[in-house]
Amino acid sequence: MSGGYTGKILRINLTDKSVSTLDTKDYEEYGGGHGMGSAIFWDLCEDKTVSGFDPGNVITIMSSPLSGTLTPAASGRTEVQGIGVQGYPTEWFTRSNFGGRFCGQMKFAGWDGIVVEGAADKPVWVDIRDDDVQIKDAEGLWGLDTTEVQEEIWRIVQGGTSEWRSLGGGRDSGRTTQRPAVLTIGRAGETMSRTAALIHDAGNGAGQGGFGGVFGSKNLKAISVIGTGGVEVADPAALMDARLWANQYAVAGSIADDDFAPQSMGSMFGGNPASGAAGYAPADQPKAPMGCLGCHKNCRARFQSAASNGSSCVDYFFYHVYDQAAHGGYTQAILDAADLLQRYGINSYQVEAMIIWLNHLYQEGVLGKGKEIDTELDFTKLGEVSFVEQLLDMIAEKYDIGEDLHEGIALAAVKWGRYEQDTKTGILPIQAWGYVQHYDARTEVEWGYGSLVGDRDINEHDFNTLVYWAPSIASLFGAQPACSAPLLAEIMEEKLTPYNDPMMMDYSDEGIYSESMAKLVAWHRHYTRYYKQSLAFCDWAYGDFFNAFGPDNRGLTGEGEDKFFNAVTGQSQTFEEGMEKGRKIWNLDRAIWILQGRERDQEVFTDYNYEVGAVPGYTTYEVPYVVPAFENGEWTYKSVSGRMLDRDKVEDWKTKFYTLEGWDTSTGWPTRATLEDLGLGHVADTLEEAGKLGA
Amino acid sequence: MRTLTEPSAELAERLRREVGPIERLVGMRMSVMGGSNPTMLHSLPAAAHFLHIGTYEEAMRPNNQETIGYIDPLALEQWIRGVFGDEELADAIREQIDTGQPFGFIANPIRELLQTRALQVAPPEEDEDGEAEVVVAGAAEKDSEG
Repeated sequence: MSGGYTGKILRINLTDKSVSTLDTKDYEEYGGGHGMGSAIFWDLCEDKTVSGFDPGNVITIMSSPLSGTLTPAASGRTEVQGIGVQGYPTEWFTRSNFGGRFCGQMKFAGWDGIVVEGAADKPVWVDIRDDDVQIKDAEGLWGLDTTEVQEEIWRIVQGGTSEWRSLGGGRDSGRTTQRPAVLTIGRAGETMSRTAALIHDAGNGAGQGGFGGVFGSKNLKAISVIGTGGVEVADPAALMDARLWANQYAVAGSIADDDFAPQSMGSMFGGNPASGAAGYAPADQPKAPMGCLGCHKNCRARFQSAASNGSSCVDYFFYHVYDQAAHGGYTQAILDAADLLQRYGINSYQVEAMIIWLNHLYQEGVLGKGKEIDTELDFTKLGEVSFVEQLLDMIAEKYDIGEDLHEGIALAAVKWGRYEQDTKTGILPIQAWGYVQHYDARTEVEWGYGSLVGDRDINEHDFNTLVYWAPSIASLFGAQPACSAPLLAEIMEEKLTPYNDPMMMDYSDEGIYSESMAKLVAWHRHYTRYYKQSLAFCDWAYGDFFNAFGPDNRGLTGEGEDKFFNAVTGQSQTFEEGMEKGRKIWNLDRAIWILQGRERDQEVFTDYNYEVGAVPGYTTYEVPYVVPAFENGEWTYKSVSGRMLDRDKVEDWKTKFYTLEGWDTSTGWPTRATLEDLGLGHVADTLEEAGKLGA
Repeated sequence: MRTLTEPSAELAERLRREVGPIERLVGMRMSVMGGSNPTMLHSLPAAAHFLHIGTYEEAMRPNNQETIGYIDPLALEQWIRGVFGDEELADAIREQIDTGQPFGFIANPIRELLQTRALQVAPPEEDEDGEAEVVVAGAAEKDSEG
């Protein structure tokens, strides 16, 4: 067994209350996290076509060999997988991920991951203290919100003390001052909402996929884990050297904050401790940066008042404009709204789109008291905390329009007869698979394509900042981004092994349908499946391509990831080998989707992507979308606002992508040759038995 | 930047109203982490609060969790002129557009114009002592981004 792994994975069957173990070594070839989770799901989920709510669904909660080590921005991410309940029209096998310290405690307790099977006949929680694993009655926890349940479990496990405590004869000292790390659901999960999240500590959530509802279907309120051990690192000196080496890519205090900001956007690994969500706090709220276990970036904030601690991103974005409109600035309402969201345990990304869409219907006179969609939801309170509380309570407790929204935004739209027309106009911007648009498929195509050939909104920012944000924001100031278009193409040619094609950065009207774009999407699928979701390198620090501080403006991706991995595990993995593992995991996932019914014809965007420009007709004008393009023999940044996708050309692109991946171009199914080349012959056998092997 | 004269009572009345779905303006709330989302703007104060961009340095900060409240300046000018009939304010916005400066440099001056007009037409409300005072609906401006 390599360093970094504890050697065993906890297997919990809630139906018969049994606890057993899997040998990590059996899955080590997949790295950790997502790869191991997919392989375990493949082995243990007997019928992969069941609903996510079915007791036969298998949920994996996995760490990586880097979890709990000094690896920067890779120590604190936990990967969650299984059949999700958010997907529409199919509940795809999917993934989510959350930060914090859960995976670290899991490792310290001696476990590389947790597998949950079956369903309990009444509410339970799992109490893990090193090797001691108990499935306990959750009668006293059921009904508590996610904050309350964590506090109650801390009280149960710790007895209310924060002093050194012994957990008996565990590894190393067997003592800790840490609180247990708890992963839990709120009321929305208990009532099996398809938009329910898993919540850990404050501000950490696995929202997409509806895994909170899946926990609810298993009568699983929470998993608590505390460990007193450590993580065996193969070469601690090499790990420390790697961390010090990586400092050159971070700001590291060598450049004054005021100087580095303009040129450093897109330097994903760089950056000082960020203000995080502090920008959304009322000005009189003292706050400090905070982050996940072992992270050097600390992209979140802790407030002295404790309100909304750790919240960031959409936790606030979902409501801050309404707070601002109602009160003329950011007030306590935004913090309280973020708290409520997490206490109920509801997917913030769904709620954000939900409020925009519901408000749209309300303004059109379709939704409201006595209207076609009759509701008591009080839109005169939009911007107040009471509006959020009313909406979230409706969803969690299944009443009023909440009874439909409880099933997720897509199914609510279907029930209300709005799905087709609202995804055609784009007022309900579901891009694919029931997931609302995060970034625009019409402009930043690698994001849209990645989601389309996958299972969910990818939420992977690897290229996003460089190909969209930096040039678009620069254009708002009449400036050029620090990374010029020719330099970007040059860097990507070097970094994006094994394709090494500069044309992958061509987002022109022709480039987005090219074979090079197929390579970019394939590279992205493979890189993220392994390095980000299996080894758990954080999306907000990796991949690091352009870096304002790195040698010749090159970031650490392609070198740094394996430097850390090899130091921890003692292996000698190359980047090319890592990318190949990513391709293997990606194909394994693809095989699972195919068993669930995936075919080529299903992989189409909703209508607005083909019929409405981004976004004239909706916003009545064009918004800034500036991307790299190779035109007239030169690299440049150009505006592609208003662009629509061409249906036929997207189909052509799919053919190029399937060909590149070694999949049957008529069905999108992997061929035996492709799978056997990846060491997945057993997967090919299963697909063949199901009549779903690509020709 | 031009100084706005006091609007007539009739214009003030028009500028105080909330418009419906046909006449609304749509802004784009842009955020690096969360993507971009449309925001419906139904009133002058709502547009005044929403329109925002920080400095170039702030906007380009890595790990950026701030947002940009983007409104197309031309669309805004047309909205003010066509929906509210405020020629003076629309002309003032037009002057900013005609400077040829990009959005990042004219957004905040335009925001100031909108805020000034919003204050000019704000309905008086009685304070605790029964005295009338002018407030903009929800416009207790804070030194925040928004």
